[in-house]
Amino acid sequence: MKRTTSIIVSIIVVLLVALCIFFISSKEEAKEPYNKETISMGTVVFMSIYGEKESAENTSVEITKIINRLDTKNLSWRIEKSDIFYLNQNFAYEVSEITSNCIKTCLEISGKSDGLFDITVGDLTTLWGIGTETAKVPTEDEIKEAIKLVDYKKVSVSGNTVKIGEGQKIDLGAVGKGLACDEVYKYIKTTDTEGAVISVGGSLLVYGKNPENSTGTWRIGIRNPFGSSNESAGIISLNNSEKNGAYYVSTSGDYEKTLTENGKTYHHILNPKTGYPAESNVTGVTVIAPSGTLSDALSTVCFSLGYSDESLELLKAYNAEAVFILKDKTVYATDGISKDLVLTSDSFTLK
Amino acid sequence: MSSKIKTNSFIKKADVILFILLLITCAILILPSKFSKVGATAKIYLNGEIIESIDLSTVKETYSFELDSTPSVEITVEPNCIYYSKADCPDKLCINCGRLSHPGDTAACLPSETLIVLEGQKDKDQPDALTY
Repeated sequence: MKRTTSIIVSIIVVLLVALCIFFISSKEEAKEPYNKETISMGTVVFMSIYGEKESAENTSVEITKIINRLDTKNLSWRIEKSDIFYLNQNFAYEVSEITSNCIKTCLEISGKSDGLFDITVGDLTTLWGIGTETAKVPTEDEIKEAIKLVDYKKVSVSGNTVKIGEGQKIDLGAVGKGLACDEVYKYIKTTDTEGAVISVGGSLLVYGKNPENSTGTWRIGIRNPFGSSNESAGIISLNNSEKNGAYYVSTSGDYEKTLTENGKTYHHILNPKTGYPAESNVTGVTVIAPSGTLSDALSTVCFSLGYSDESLELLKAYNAEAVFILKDKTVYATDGISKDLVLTSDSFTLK
Repeated sequence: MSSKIKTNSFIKKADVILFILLLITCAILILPSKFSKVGATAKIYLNGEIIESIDLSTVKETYSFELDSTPSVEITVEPNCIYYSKADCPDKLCINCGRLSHPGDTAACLPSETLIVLEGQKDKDQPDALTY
């Protein structure tokens, strides 16, 4: 009798364990994200969305529409009927609220960076054309002529009406990807998405909890500026304290879009004051900020300012954190993020 | 005394049987899922549509093919590896992306609107996303 009871108990225990294992493995399968890749806004968009498959798929379709709409209706200076296209044609135009708010933020950062960030660089970026088929190194005279038009102080915003100086051309390329992350966040928080990472050309919206990690933490790689495009120099661990919380991460580097002429390589981040690619002690800067527009703009400014007191002050003013990768392969991280950063390559030194 | 010894001996035997049964159950349930996703599958996109899907773990010999894109690009496939080998685009950023071999690796040629994405089970040390 005792023997029979023991065998029955053993079988029940085995079955229970088997059921538990089966349950756990099914849960793990359900934790796989829905991934979607597309080209939009002239860049690559990657989405990794956790949730019920059909719902995640619908979310990805809507996100694609949001980014496309932002490009065609608001930001693109190339596409006729966009806010920026009309503004550049008429020098005064009533734009949509998204565009006017974005311009206001840009002007504020221009003021705080003493013009090192300037959205009136449209003519200058077209002149260089880096990343396009017409890319070339302009003559010194051409650059002198183009920077005459660069002056953010000539831009004013009243309500949604934006006025620019005659002949000026606005280019929101330095904040477009970050703004796209902001717009995606407004939508995704209304869905049942558990967690997601949306990359718009390398600017990231890190939303909610990571269901694949028991603590909900996301591991975000920072591209190795000296390695191939899929190689990380370090990994930042980010954990949203709230269910609908988000981090915005952007990087500016001198390796992304380049032009090589007569053996010299020129990158695409232009210094609005000199008209030439910005030069500093850094090769890449990653910024984590309260919004995508800010992370995108601040990474550009901090790239130009380099690892310096000015950069650190600016980051502090916007409650932002940053990781600076210097040309000599030393890495500096601001206090708020240094404990969450782990270098993944031995060739770098964290200071 | 003799009865006590018998009971202990029976428990030991049952423990062993239970342990073996547990091991077999675990192996049956866990192992297939652990080994089913080894290797990466390369998805090649043109104008937003998947035009080719290649299981890189089954590739035995190196071969190249050209995509019907403007500007034209050539992709080379090797065992467990894929990359842009030629491109008529101006900046050649796609070629500079180098060889892709791990799930999660990507390369894009924006002028030709082509994209290579490697799918599959990511290594544990790989990040969830990359900022660049």
